[in-house]
Amino acid sequence: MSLGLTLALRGVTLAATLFIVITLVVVTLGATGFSDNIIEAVINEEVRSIREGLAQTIRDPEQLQEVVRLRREELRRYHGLDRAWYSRLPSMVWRVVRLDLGEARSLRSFKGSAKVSDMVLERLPYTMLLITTSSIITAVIGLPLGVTLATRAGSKLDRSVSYISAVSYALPAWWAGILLILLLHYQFQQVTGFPLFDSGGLYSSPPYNDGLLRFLDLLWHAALPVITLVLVSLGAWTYVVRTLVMNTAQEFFVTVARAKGLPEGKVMRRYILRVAAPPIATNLVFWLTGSLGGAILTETVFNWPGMGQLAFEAITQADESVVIALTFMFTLLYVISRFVLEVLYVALDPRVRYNS
Amino acid sequence: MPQNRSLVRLVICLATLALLIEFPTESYAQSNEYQPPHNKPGPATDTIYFKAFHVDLASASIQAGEMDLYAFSLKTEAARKLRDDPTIKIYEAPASSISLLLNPAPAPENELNPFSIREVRFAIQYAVDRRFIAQEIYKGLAEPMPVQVGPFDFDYLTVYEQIKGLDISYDPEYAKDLVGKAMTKAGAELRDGIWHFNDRPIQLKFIIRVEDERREVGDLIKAELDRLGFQVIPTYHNFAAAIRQVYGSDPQTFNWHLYTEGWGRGSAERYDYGTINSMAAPWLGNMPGWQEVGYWQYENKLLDETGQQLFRGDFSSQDERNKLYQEMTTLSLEESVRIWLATIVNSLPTTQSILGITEDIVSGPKSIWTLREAYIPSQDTLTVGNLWVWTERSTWNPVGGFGDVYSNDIWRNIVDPSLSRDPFTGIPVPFRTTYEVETAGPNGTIDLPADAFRWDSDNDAFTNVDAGSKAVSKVTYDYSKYTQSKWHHGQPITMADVVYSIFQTFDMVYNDEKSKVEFALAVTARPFLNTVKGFRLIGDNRLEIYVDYWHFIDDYIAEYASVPSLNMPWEVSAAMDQLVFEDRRAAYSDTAAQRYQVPWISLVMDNDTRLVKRALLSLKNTDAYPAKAFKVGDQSLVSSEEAQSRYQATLDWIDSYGMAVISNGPYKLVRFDPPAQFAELEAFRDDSYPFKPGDFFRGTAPSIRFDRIEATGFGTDMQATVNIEITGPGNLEVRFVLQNPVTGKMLARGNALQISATHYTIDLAIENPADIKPGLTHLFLTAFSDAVSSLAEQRIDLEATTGATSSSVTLTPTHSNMGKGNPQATITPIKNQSRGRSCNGPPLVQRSH
Repeated sequence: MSLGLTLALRGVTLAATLFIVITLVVVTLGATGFSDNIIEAVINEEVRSIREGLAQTIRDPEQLQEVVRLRREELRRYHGLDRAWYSRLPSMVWRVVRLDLGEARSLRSFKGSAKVSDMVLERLPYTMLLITTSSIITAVIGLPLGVTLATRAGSKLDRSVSYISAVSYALPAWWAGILLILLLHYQFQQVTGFPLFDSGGLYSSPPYNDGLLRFLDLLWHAALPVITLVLVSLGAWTYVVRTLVMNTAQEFFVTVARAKGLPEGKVMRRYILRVAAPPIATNLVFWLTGSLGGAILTETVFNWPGMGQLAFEAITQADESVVIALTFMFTLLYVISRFVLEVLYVALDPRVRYNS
Repeated sequence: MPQNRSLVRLVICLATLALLIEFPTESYAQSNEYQPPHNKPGPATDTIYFKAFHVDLASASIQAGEMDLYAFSLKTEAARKLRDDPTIKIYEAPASSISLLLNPAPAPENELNPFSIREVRFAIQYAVDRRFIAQEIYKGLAEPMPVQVGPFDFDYLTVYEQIKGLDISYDPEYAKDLVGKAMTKAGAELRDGIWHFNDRPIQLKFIIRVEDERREVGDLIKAELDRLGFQVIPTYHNFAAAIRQVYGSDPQTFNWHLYTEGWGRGSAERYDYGTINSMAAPWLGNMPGWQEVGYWQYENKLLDETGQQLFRGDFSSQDERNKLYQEMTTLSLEESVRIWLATIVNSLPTTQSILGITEDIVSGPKSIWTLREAYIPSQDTLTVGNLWVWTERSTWNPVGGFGDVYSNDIWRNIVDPSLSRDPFTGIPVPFRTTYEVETAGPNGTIDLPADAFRWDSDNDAFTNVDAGSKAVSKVTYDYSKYTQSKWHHGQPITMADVVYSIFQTFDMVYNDEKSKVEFALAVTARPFLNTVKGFRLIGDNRLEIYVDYWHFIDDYIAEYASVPSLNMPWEVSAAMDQLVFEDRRAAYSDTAAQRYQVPWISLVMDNDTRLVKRALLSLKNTDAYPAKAFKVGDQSLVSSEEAQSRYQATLDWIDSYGMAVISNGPYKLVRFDPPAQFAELEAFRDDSYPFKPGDFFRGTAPSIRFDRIEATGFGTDMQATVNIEITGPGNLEVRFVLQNPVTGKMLARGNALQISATHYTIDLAIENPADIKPGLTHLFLTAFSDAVSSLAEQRIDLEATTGATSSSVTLTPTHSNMGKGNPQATITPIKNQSRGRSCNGPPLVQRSH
């Protein structure tokens, strides 16, 4: 089988994966009653509030009940509850598959737009600035550090970094975030009279209107959450790289290469790193694509309106079109990265060939 | 019995002594001193920044000086810690309450839901330790609350005697006794401390909220229910999951048996009619079943009938109204589907340096009164923190928007309403209009004059009312304080703005085309507008409004009849109307926005402001204006030149600020930045603005306080006299209840006789001396005023003893002031209390089902 055909088959499989994931989401939202229940609860709360407001002016109980009934019907139509889930949700999927993300029911962009694409375009850069940047920094530091540790396994440096890595891995991001805010914002301000970083949000108060200053202000606000994320993810990443490299270094073919008297640099590059590269690349690619989904807790602690918060709000408010659109987007990203990896495997590992 | 009587008589005959109780005094006006920072028109401060702060970081932020006032309640623990900081002041606002909802649905055959039995539900009233909840769980930032109103509400006084009569307090043994009898009667059996029905243990699903102290409250109640012999299965949920499981399900599916509810409120209601209906009467859809078709419904005909009578205002005097309210309270207590637990005091911190705060009796500093007067000496800026400045629901349009609390927290400083609610009494008061009320209600009517007019949407014009038209009340509003001044963009406010508002409201409801577009708004406004019978312009500044509405307090009639809303210049409203009804490029309400796939118009948003600008340009370029909306009789209130001038001013405003929020209040909105969660208000200092610092300052609600109580004991004539001196604002009154704490029987009650402004006396006469037993007798005193809604309570223990030498009636003060100024005050536990009731609960008025 040719490489092209093999990759095409992989593509079809991944497309099927995309279809299955979306179907599962629709079934989870609809058939289980999850979506209907949440929307019904949202409507109940709205009706309760409407009734309270109307009671100020409509003092006839019959009229009040009639008006509340009409409003409830209107809200049910608004929220789509006048149609069963199996007629409501598939049309959303069909629209999303045609790359039309549709309109949210309750969520809005900062500019007031209900279009899901506007919301994604607005939030994605914030998420990339925070989560993707921290992922790249972590990778850039963790990759050489992990390799170095693997080559010095058992040394004092290795043992020390291993301990630190364990601590870093164990740190919850939200807790580390709050701790750093208290230290580098409030405590620092108490000592010096000015904060080293801001406590959260995208911009200072009052915010700059000027484009460049506003952007620099955004970078300053991103610094502390980025530091937090690097701090809590560096340990795990370094340890993963170290372990993968060390496992490869203990393979027989590496011992044979060394026995043949090949220079250590060449052994490292050609026999260890090239073999260890595919799993490292797998982790890295998934990590970077996953970063586009945001980090709910960190975003919440730092009041950072990213993709994680958007997804969380969409689920808690059962904003179906946003949930389906985001699921489609994230799954599509996964599928694309998987496909890229299939190609990378071939390029990186000489042992991997599809045409046997 | 004769022996007892002679014993007590012996005791009380010996006792004729005078006891004096004095309380430390301090001037209640002390905190109300305010020195305006300047004499210029407008507010005290030049600039206000609104900024979002996460609630968990709010304490640290205010301590670090990053904000001056936090308009969102701190968590209890954070508030407690912040109290020790001398640089911070915590304002306490009883704006929330918590309750326990019981599921009264009958269980399927061969099963038993204990809460379907009224007596079991009633027993839970005694199984919950409200004092522990208030003092230990909420660390004193709560008050026990046995009914739907608490000591911070004026209607607490209305039901005061009922509350005392029922003596609802923590008594687990009594609760156990009630439960035991009721469950046994229902066929249940107590085995090894667990109630069984048909050989199966009875289990209760308890939904407990986790976001706040209700988690601990839930655990406490679970422990009590365990002790009563129920197997409780707790489920810990946040808001969304909990309301889905409780309010989103048929009670008879038994997804839940109990739920720890929480409620918030924004302002005081002196004469409640909505809350009691909502919290007790099934018809309003807030009781199990929720009036949802297909669900099992909790029903109580008498509660519905009484509730609707109260709701309709179907009474002819305050006394009649109070009787209805008392009857409903008794019924709801007997039914005990919703068990009230505590009023929660929200904690809103400010820096100590901020001056000019007015404390609303419900919302604390978070009211219309505060930011007009607040300032920090030698500082021209205030930073107000909130949980959010912008949310997805933030929609700045006054017709179908402003549904979120955060936008309203800003908006109320930008606009001057015609009327507002008094921060201390909750009664409507003039704000920027003055008014006179004339009423023939509740049963009579007033003739409308021939030149009174109404909007006729069929003829697209204001037309005179039909001859012989009548209305119950007439309110004459004086708009001089508006019309002598300007909108924020510099254009004069005129009666044309008032009349356009009437046109806009009526045409949206009665014009078929428009009401189809904005269905939700039209359908909800129609019943109210049907009661508005006509308008009449008087001179240049006054407007008469005729309505079919009556209340025993005129101010409520004035509030009801205040139809025009002067919050935006007519040209902005006209531009929005053009976009919504003519061009269909925007919508006022969210539902219409979705139906027509257009934006839900928000005047702080770039895109929507551009739409408004385009509509204005179109009107300006075609020299058009809604002339029909300004033609009243032979008068035309707007000329083409005036319209052009208005359009140009609004276009200039939009070009300057990028928003179309133009109003008439003390502040202008000059920046709104959703990604930054930031808004900036700038003082409106136009010379024509009628208010200056000091005009709206009210400070802290003055408290009512018992200064001195002097009492003589019972003599042979079974009479005693109590002399009381109290301090407080307004016209004061004192009510008393004498109660036997053992039997719960009320021995005497009534109003104290006023001797002078501060001196009152009570002549206690016991009709039946046999009711006086050796031991304690409680005299409850309640002082109240027409100037504040909260009241002061005092309990005096009268002790009858039988010793030969010490036989006397002694007076012991055991209860401190429960007024607003002292929310941590507690009722001292009654010593040697036992509940020797002769019946198993209160008298029944009506069985629920």
